[in-house]
Amino acid sequence: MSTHVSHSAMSADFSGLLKRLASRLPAHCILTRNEDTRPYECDGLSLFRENPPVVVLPEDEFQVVEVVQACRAFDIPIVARGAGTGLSGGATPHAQGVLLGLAKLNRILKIDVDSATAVVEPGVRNLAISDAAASHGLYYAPDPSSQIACSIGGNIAENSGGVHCLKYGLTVHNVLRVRIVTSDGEIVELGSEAPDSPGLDLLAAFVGSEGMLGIVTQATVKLIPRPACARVIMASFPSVESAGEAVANIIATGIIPAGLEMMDKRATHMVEPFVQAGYDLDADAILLCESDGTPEEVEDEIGRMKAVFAAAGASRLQVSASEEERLRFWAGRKNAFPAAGRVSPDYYCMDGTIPRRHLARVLNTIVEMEEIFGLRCANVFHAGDGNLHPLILFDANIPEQVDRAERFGAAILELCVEVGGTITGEHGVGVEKINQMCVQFSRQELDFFLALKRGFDPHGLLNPEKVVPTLARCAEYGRMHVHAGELRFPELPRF
Amino acid sequence: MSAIPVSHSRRSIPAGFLEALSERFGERFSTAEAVREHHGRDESPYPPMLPDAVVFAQSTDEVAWVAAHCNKHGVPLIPYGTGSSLEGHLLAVQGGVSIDLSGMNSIVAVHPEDFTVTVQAGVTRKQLNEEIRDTGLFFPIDPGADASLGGMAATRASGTNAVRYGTMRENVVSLKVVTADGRIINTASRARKSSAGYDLTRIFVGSEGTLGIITEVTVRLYPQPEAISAAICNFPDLRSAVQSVIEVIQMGVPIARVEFMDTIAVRATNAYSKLNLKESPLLLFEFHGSPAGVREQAEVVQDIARENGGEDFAWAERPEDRSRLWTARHNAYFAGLQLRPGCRASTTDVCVPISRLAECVTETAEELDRSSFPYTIVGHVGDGNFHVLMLLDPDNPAEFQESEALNRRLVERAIRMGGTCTGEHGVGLHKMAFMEAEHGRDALDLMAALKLAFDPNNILNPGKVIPAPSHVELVA
Amino acid sequence: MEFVLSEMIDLVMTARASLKPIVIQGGGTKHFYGESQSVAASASVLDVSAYRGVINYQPSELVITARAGTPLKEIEELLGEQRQMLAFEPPRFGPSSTIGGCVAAGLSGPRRMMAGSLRDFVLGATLLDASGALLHFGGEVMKNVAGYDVPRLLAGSLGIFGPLIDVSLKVAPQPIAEATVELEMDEERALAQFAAWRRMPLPISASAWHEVHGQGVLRVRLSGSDAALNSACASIGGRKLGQEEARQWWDALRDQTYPFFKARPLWRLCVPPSSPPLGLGKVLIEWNGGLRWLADGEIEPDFVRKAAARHGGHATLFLHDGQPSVPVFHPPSPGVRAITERLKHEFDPTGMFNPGRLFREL
Repeated sequence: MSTHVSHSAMSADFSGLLKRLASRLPAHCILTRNEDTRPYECDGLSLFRENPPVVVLPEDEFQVVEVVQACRAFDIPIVARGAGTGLSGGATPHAQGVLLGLAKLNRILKIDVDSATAVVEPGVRNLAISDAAASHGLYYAPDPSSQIACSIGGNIAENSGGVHCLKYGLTVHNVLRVRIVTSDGEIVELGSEAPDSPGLDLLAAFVGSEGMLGIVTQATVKLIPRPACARVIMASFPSVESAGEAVANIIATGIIPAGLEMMDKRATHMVEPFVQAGYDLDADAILLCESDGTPEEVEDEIGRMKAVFAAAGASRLQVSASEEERLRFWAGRKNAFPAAGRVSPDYYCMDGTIPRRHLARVLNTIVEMEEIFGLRCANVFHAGDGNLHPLILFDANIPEQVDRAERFGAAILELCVEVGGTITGEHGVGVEKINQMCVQFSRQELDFFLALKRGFDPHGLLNPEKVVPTLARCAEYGRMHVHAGELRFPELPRF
Repeated sequence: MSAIPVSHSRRSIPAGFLEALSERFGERFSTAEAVREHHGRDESPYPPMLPDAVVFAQSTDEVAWVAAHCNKHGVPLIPYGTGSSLEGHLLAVQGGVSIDLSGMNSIVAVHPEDFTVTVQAGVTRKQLNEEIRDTGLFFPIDPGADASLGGMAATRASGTNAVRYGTMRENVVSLKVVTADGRIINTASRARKSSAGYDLTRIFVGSEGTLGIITEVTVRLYPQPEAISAAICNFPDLRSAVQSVIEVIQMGVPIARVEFMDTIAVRATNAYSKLNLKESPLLLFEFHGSPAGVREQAEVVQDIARENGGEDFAWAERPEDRSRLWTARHNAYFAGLQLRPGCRASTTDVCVPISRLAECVTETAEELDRSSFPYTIVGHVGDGNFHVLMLLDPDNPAEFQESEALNRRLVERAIRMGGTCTGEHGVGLHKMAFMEAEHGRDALDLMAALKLAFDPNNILNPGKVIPAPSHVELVA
Repeated sequence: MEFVLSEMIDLVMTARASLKPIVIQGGGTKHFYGESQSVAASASVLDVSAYRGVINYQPSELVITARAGTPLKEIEELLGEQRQMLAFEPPRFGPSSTIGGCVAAGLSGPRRMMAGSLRDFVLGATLLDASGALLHFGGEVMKNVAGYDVPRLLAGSLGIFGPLIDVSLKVAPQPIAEATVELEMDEERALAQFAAWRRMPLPISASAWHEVHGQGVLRVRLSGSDAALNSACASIGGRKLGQEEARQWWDALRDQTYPFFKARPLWRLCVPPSSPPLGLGKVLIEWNGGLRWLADGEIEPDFVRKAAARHGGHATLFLHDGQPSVPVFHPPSPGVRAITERLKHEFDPTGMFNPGRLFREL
């Protein structure tokens, strides 16, 4: 699956393109040498690599438009890239395309305290927005784990979430307006700084579109007041079932925690030596449940949360007494991935969402799959919204383990769909999960997606061949299942 | 470009006749040209033939009053439902009054335990089904246009699911009819069966407004199917397809629909609806019943089809998958039209005993292959009814002549095989020429006698259905 | 319901085959909203109200899935039994309002600024498309980025892509307690007050300012725990309304039974909340300044639109008598218009569904 392509063979198209770009953009914005383009050959999904023939790094919107128009003129596809932290290959370059890096568009244009909004360029780091707003007591809520590095443009492309999204929403709930360059090279604004805009909600369609509908050059995001106080409960449970029940009961009681995360035993054992947060190594499952607000609100809510956990059979309950302790409780969860890196040469992070009530079943099935595929899998779970991150541990130096890891991953995703969930909660489809799209969606639904893309990008210029599989691809993947015992009625032929 | 029996000419309207109507009905009486034009045409290829006036009735008593009035003065009276008839049923060939019943659109009574409902004649099928939906029952006959129940009864309409649910002939329990002289009768009780006297209901059903004006219809209802599934199967030829259907019916499988499409129709549908159906004669099935029942029905049908050389049997249970199969059925007509953009379509409508269907269609197809225009054939195999869609150049009168001649020969063929010139569309004007060949002079004479007895002054939709004895056809 | 669904699919396929338009109808309570469709007599009416019933409700999952014809009333009662609610507080213009119509119209109520808009809560939807196919998008989970966010695109789309067949919505717990306070101040002061409150963690779930007998009156609803309410009320001050009085007020506002909404024409201006007073005439301001209802019949539509646009907002001719001379919805930018037209053409090539409802020519 790893491919390293030399781009020494350049077509006439590229020469023409480069000539045109050279006349419009500063030379330092255009990279063509192998050693310069190599850093852009993959995003966070290192399994997929493609050394792009050309990398362009515009410095402002005007230059972005120039690039798009040039690519349009020469019919060359564009893959946009923010910080390159994406986990599904959304920014994996196209072998015959331009890799458009937006990192230099990194200005925070305005922090408007009166309206509690920030106007930012796409390359601005997620955390940088909160840092800039901090002095006004405001912050930008969506906090994906990579927030120190990931860009807001990338967040918009993936509709990123984060630990606090249960209470504060996803990116789509926190973006008011985006300014995009379409594949025509036109600038269009979707949404507005008003609470809604006329006509169709194109902004909602755009957020999460993985760079396929347009290129963000500016966004207005919502800022909210930083809560005065935040505290975390760390609760141990003797079984995954009881932890799952505790989660259900929290919600049923009418509490919306600021964060609600779960780790299974394998995950806990993996992280504790690394962060020494004091996790209960005997517990089958650990819940981290956060409350934020005014001190009175937090006191009240923590009390109610503790009562629910105790009633659900928690074997241990600890409440953070200080900000330092709160961060330490979270450290394990937030460092699950690096910890995995410590115990295993490689790990494959999966990302599916399931209805919460099926958690126990899914986790138990994953344990069974560990036997089948012969690999260990640790699980962290955004219990608040059902988003599951199985971490499959393997050694990439052993080729057949790579294959097993991929198949294990695919099996997990298909299990998610089977229990009524989805194949990707927040990492996106990119290239990684195209095959599973064939499982989650019918051909007509996939065609609807293709039609939606044509509505925005009639020329098919932006990040092509990502996310939505073609008919041929699905047929190849073996979409046609013949269920045992029902051979008399083969599944409807694909028309 | 139409065959108009030469014996028709407009009757004169006596002085004061229209004024009396105007006084009685006020705004619901009109002589405006636009209104008369609307009521002087239907979906047939004929040019409009306008009535002299239009009355919008709202009750049976009003209809009776108009009938008595027209009868007294010898003025023709033509009932109007929704104007969806196909063979010139509504055309005021002798002028007269068009009585529009669309305003009589209330549900009179629903009797779910008896599986009947009584509606005024202007109620449409769609409206009826919406109103009775909560009873768990439905009225299954769907002639494909938004027709009124009165019109459907008057033309003995049927739909594509007649193989299971029957036609209007089987499903009209009773009628309220206004006679030519303005009397009001009920043709039968609501009892499921009766041996009391002549079956007036059956006489009026299909009488196309020539024996009386239907103002209320009581029809049979059926339980809404719990599950619906669809299936599709290709056959090497029509014979094997029809044979399969015969065997399916013999096995007692209560198929709800079975539609046939010839290879050309399939090809047209593939192009029009972007499907990927195998291009050979095709049968489309639909099953109604319990979830287990529809599965079992499909199983049996698949076995029979396979034994008869059927291939690529595909079955769909979920609505998501059924739509794909239904597309073929819905779009057949329009897909056919696309075979010759800009064309005008002429449709035939013969019906033969099922045992002769394959033969009839095959012979017809051979003849059509030698014609100068494209065509497709679709059919309701379960009833032996099929439609040839002839795609004609509207600017070429020779093609029209050719199509009429082909139609004539097709009807003769059907009659020879023990069939009828019209399975669904009715006689109206267009099929009058075939009535003698189909029924024979004696039967036609009996019909004429009946007409005379019911309508001595020949005011009810004159010039339709029964040809005058010395009938001469003139092509204008 | 299987049979009802079959009939609906059949209706769509028949209309498509014969190139006839379809007018989609739920409870018929929002005919007034959008362009009035002058549709030919040959149009079929697709009545979705027969296709009803809650398919799945999991209070502990915070999700409800219901067929589109389910009455909004039924859903709210069901949620209320579990002390949950539709947090976006949709308006109820009549007892027959359906959840499908509610989502298709996309209108949110007083709680919008605190809780989120209607489309924020749409998790999944099934669409009956122009070819009679049933397409399922989204699901019952909030975290779902597989494919494009079609369900949220369908919210507020006024049926131009086809009828919604079922929807999955995120639900929220009802607040523990609510209190409403009333203060007297003029428009400018009220808007400044909103700005100040925006920076404070006040649990303001609704606000409304308008003039009563020449006096500016601001009402603020606070929702949360008792502790939070107490400190918030102390912070804000003003006269506290009785529970019943408050409930009636917010209901009248939400459902627009309050006399202010009798004005014709009634303009709906949506502007950035921090926008200053627009000086257009008699206004009722909601959404902390973001929603401004204008009941001034004399004003030129062009003038209203320009005023809204100047601040980055838009103006909808929400209620009117007869045939307005201007488009009902604020004309979008050429870029947005182009994308909208392309999408309509892709999903409904023959322009069958609700023609002329969003834009007269679409």
